[in-house]
Amino acid sequence: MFPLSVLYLMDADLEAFAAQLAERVELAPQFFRNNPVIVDLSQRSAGSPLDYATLYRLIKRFSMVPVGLRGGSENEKAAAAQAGFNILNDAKPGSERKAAEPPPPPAPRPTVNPTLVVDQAVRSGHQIYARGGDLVVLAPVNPGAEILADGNIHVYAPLRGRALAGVSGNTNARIFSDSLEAELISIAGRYQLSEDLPSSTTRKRVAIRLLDDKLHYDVLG
Amino acid sequence: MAKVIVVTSGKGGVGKTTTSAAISTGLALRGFKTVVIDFDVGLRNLDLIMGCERRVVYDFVNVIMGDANLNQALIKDKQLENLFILPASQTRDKDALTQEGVEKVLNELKASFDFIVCDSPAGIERGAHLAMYFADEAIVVTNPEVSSVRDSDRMLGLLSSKSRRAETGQSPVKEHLLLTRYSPERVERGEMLSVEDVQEILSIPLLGVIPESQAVLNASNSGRPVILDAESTAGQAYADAVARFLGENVDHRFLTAEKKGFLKRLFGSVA
Ligand SMILES: Nc1ncnc2c1ncn2[C@@H]1O[C@H](COP(=O)(O)OP(=O)(O)OP(=O)(O)O)[C@@H](O)[C@H]1O
Ligand SMILES: [Mg+2]
Repeated sequence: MFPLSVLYLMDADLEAFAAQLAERVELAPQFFRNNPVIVDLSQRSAGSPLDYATLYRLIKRFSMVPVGLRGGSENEKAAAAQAGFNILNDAKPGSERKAAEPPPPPAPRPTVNPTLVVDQAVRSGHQIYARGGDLVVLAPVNPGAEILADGNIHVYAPLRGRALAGVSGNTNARIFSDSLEAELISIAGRYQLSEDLPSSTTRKRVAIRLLDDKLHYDVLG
Repeated sequence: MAKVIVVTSGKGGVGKTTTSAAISTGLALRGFKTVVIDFDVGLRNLDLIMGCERRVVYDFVNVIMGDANLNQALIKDKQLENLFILPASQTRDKDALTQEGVEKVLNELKASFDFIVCDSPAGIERGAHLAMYFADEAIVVTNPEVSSVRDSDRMLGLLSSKSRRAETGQSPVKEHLLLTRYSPERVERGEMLSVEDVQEILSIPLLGVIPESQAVLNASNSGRPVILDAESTAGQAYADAVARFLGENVDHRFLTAEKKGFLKRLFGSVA
């Protein structure tokens, strides 16, 4: 199990970036294989626009899993989303760029986002991200599909794809499923692939959480 | 009201064109005025399977570009009064198909046909997208193997999010699963997924199971859609599928391996 890595992009030179990445990956190929990564643009010097599609492919080429992207301007985020990145909440508070908006109403705001409820099968190639909250799926999550949440993930059906809870670092996030057949399970970046999941949990109703920084599976009766 | 049916799969070579030819012929045999369109620009072969390749003068792209009108491009089937083929262009490049152009042709066809069957190219790129975009119903052709099921699943996701029905909030595209090249013997030996395995993942209604059959190859070599070969298992299975498509209740056949001898006589066909 490896923690989520963050790749800080300094400029738009993807060739140099690829070369640096290749060097690192060569040092520890096993470490990077299937490692979920977040791309962070907050330290990037302004300059020529980035080619996000190439960046996305680059990360995949090094067998890493592009979990999301954070820290860019709204324009950059839109372009990145087009290329397939999930847009994550910015890491540093105060980096939101919404200057022109009227001051927020003084009423106390709830601290959690409403739960995202999905009642259709999540099919291969689809990706669903519950930003800032929980994700509830009432239909199967199929092989090749990916579901992510900043909070907990509940799947009241077979979970056969990839499920990543607590993707912004919430180590208290949990994953629940009626039948565990997942390709990948991750909580706050600690992850396991299907072949490493305890065999006692296969096709069982399970609750998954982090215990001592490791994924812990409870089979529910 | 004319219905647009897309025959699609994601994965290549699973039997879309074979199915488009069989289903459109079957619908025409049932008395419906039917046209089948080849969306596989550059690789046309629907006309070969339908046995009309030597009568192609104008094609789908010609109509879209305004070089010919529909009546000039539509090829009337030799045997069936109410069956027509709109062939693909072999020479034009894929970008010749535009969304507006396809929509215009479909609207024109809707005025005089009961069913418009769209034979999709493989993949999920432009041609496949245009073939499914205007569909009212989809026949998702799947082979009993993991990669084909995965691609069909992907296609179903696109049908429910990227079709015009999905984008404009109409009732969803009606989905049908057609399992083709099914070999009960190989399923029993564990070399192929079973009907149940495939349905568990795709979870859409089963329109039919077409067995692996030499008759399909013979049919395409002679340019006679296999559904016209009433002796063959594949032809019968396609005829059943057409009946189910039209709402009839027909039991599934050819799901179990031929059991020879005593047991077979005792229990008959279990399927
Ligand atoms: N039930 C079947 N039994 C045996 N062979 C079959 C069957 N169905 C299809 N085939 C064979 O499989 C091959 C591919 O079929 P077909 O051309 O219909 O697939 P397709 O999905 O249209 O391919 P493409 O993606 O290239 O358009 C052909 O050689 C065809 O004869
Ligand atoms: Mg074809």
